[in-house]
Amino acid sequence: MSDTVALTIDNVQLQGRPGQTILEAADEAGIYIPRLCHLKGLQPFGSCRVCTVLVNGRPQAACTQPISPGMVIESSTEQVREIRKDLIDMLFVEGNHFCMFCERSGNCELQAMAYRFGISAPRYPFLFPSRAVDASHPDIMIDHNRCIRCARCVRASRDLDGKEVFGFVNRGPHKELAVNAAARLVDTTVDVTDQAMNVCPVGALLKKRTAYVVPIGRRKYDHTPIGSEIEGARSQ
Amino acid sequence: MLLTERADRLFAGMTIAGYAIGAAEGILYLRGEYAYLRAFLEDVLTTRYRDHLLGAAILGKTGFDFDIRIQMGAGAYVCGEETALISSCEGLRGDPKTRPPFPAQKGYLGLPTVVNNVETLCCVPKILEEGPATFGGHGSPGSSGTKLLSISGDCSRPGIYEVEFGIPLTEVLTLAGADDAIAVQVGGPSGQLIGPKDYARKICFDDLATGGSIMTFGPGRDVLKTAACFMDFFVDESCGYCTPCRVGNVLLKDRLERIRAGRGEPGDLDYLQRLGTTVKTASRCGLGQTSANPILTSLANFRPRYEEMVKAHQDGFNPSFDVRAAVSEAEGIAGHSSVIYPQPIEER
Amino acid sequence: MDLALPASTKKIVIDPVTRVEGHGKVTILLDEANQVVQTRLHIVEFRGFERFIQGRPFWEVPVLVQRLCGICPVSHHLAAAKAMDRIVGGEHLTPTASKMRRLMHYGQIFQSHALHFFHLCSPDLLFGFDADVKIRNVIGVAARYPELAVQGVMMRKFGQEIIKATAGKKIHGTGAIPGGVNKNLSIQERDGFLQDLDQMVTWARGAVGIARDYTVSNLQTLAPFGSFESSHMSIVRNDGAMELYDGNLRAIDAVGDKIFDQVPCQEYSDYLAEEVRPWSYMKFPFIRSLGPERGWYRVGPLARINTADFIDTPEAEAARREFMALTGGKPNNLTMAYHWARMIESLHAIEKIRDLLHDHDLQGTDLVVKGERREEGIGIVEAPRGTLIHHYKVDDQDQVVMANLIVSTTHNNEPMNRAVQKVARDYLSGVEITEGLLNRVEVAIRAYDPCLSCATHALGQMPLTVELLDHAGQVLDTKST
Ligand code: SF4
Ligand code: FES
Repeated sequence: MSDTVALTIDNVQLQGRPGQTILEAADEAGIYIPRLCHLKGLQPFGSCRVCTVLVNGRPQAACTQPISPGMVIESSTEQVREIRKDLIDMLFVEGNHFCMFCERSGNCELQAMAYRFGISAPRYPFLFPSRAVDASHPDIMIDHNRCIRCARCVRASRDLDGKEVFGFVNRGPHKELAVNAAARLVDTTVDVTDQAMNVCPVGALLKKRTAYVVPIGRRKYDHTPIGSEIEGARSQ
Repeated sequence: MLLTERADRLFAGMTIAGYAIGAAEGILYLRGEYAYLRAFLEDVLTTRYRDHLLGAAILGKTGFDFDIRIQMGAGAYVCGEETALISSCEGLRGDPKTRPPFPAQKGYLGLPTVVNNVETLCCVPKILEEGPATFGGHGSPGSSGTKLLSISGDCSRPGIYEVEFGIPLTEVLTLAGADDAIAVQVGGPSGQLIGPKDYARKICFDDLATGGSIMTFGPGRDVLKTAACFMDFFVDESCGYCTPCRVGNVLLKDRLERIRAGRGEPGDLDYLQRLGTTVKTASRCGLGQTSANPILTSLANFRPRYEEMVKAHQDGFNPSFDVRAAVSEAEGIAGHSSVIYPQPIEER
Repeated sequence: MDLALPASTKKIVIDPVTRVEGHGKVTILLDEANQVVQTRLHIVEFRGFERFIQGRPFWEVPVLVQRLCGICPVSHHLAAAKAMDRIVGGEHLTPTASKMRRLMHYGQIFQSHALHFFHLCSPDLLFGFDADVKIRNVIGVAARYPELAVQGVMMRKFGQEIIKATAGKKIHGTGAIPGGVNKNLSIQERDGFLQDLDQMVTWARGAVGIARDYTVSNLQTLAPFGSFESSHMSIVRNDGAMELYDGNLRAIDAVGDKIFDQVPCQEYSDYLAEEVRPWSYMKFPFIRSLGPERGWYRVGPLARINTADFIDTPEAEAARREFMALTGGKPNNLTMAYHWARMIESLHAIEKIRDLLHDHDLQGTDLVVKGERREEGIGIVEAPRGTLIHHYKVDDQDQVVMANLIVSTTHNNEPMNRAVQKVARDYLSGVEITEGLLNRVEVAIRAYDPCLSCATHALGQMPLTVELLDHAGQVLDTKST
């Protein structure tokens, strides 16, 4: 097996390494493929589909699809952008995302993604589900209204903390995050120092009493759009 | 029907498949609805063990070892998707797995696995017995052999028919007594809803592909209702793993219901088309990739019916929601009826 | 739905194009001799917030409740933050935190008063009540008095920039957090403001002059206009000075005698109660010791000038004295005097801003404190339009279980009804709503600056419907602005 794999993404030729996913190869080349459920350091999961690309014309999730020689990948074409916008919209309307008072506003990846795509209001109607808040734990809270079912916390707790605090229950539109205990967070082994506490892309899994401590203007996405850390690598 | 009437042939096919790929274990995945068949199938297996057609050194051939066990499932539709089926066999949630790796690389418990359906496996002994030429002599180019069709709906002779691949749909409809069908769903919920202009098309892999299901709808049926029922089905059966299938199907269903309730607007057709295409393109597994078909195919084949429901009102004003219903919750909280949208006096 | 509604409300006819927010409706009911017996101002102000907040974590509330209002969000932000300070036991803020919050608040008062005076009210004052609405709007002012219009815009902008520097955004920021603030003021930000400061003081001074001259020279007409005797309430400082951000409650009667004084905010509900009336979405608060009939009072600029013993900034204090001299030192009960009072406060606010900008505590870095956790917190501030009360209970999981908000428009509910009634009695002739009456109802309501006037008047259209009913509840006439 040769030690490089040649492929093109949006007409840019690049050399990936065998075993990499499309997303990993793109990251290394400084090409940002939008993603929400994927987080470096966690097993790829492939649920949000925001990383959808066309590989030789066929849709694939860039975060799970391994590269192979000669792949011709479209990531920033109009068609792909429109699909991603739809998916971001869907995540917004599926939950109750009130950015205007959410404590993750400015640091939220879903919100930042919407800004990156120029979405000011979703094209789909809000579903306004009725969802709970689990504030039983003294230092941690889950606001299910904002969970996007990305499983980052599930994977981090399982693979990094060795705990399996989180999992999913129910199916289809009713699928939701649950904790590995009778019903409440306080009954689990979760701790505020767990790695799982640092991975939630939105304002669903929260450390209590840390809200709004960073003023507007110094939040993560106040000045640069999401993805610029990766695109920045390219221009250097 | 194959399980009840040709179980032995199925198990023979599985055993041959095991021999061909060098596998020692086979699993029959039996969904919950067929639990009543289990005792009977176990009997058939016992008989085959007794006859040395299963177990160690089959028919005295050293090294040809093959066992079959029956795995019960709970009956989720998505478990017909091969990777979800494997998850279910492993005792996990019946969620599809990420591909690659494909089952043939890493399947059940991480081992290479071939997943086939009962009908395919039943063909295997036949082909070996009668020779490929006989099998290839049936059917049409690219689609050899015969196909079992399960025909239901508005027809005078519903039932299971074995037909040659390549048969035009009209002939199938005549066989089943459904010549007056206004619409036919070919291939189950994830297939296509087609109308009379397509009845001349043929049942085969490159034209009207079907796993075997044909549902007929007679005069007086409303295709929008048919599509809505199938969308209900997909909303229920989605595993919820990926965004487009989990959310998109609900949105499709809601908009279709709004149109059916007479509150549609002309732009809704583009809305359904766009949304359906995204669900089809971006979903993670076969279920999601086909779940928009009831809407996409009915929209393509019965567009006038949709157009009739969404035409612009004469006053140029299409109310997309019921304002009285919308304010009722707020009225409850406030303890007053709305001042701006008062109830008609007779309702008070 | 089985709601027992008074017979007259069955006749309500509302223009179908109106929207839920920002629309006022007035009904005037006549007796058999066609004399005004009653007027009612229906403000469709829907208070879903108290319910919506339940279950939310308490630290979210100061940011969440700002969404009640697009004009004075800072007041809600600060009232809620003050309540939450008590929840975290952090009510004794660091100097930096309390001064940053004060700066934010004065910025808010300054910009809101500028908006109200220059954009919403100056057309009535400059052109007269009977001028054509086509001219009697902010665009008309800009055409005839361009320098005034510019001042209004610049003063508002200055206040908004102060808010941005303290809260992060001009509207709906996040500056105040339970027990403190999340930023200080940089030297750079401070110096930017210092540049424009003198100009702002000059303009604020000028605006007091305009309001005073207008009131004094038209006293004959204005004195009776929508006026009536009333009690007044606000917070005041320990020493009786005017206080807008943090003080104790004081209420006085129409002649200036104290009804209660130096009541700690946490005890407000021992002194104030709220009554629900079937014909309005809004509650009617009253002073307990006087009962629901007589216990109503006014809040806002007029009330604050009346309740204060003095103002602790020199120019505003001089202006206050001049104001009080008009009524011989007794409370001023003129509805139209609200405008003058408002501009005195605006001058006070900019003087306070000046003092704060020169205070190095604003560059401090000690931003947050906390102490013993509590389950209940009440925060009261003087918002531009009047006393604003936020009251919360929080359970041991940090979730809000009870919220009660009394906003200034609610306190002024009865007074506005009275003002409208006065105007109706004085100006209704026959059984027809004249343009003159309609205009005057509008002007009287606008003196109080209830939120309903904000939404659209800037474009010359206050969304108001006046309806005249006979003794049997039959609609005699309906007119909308
Ligand atoms: S809580 Fe956050 S990290 Fe966990 S699944 Fe939901 S959105 Fe993802
Ligand atoms: S990032 Fe690839 S599916 Fe979510």
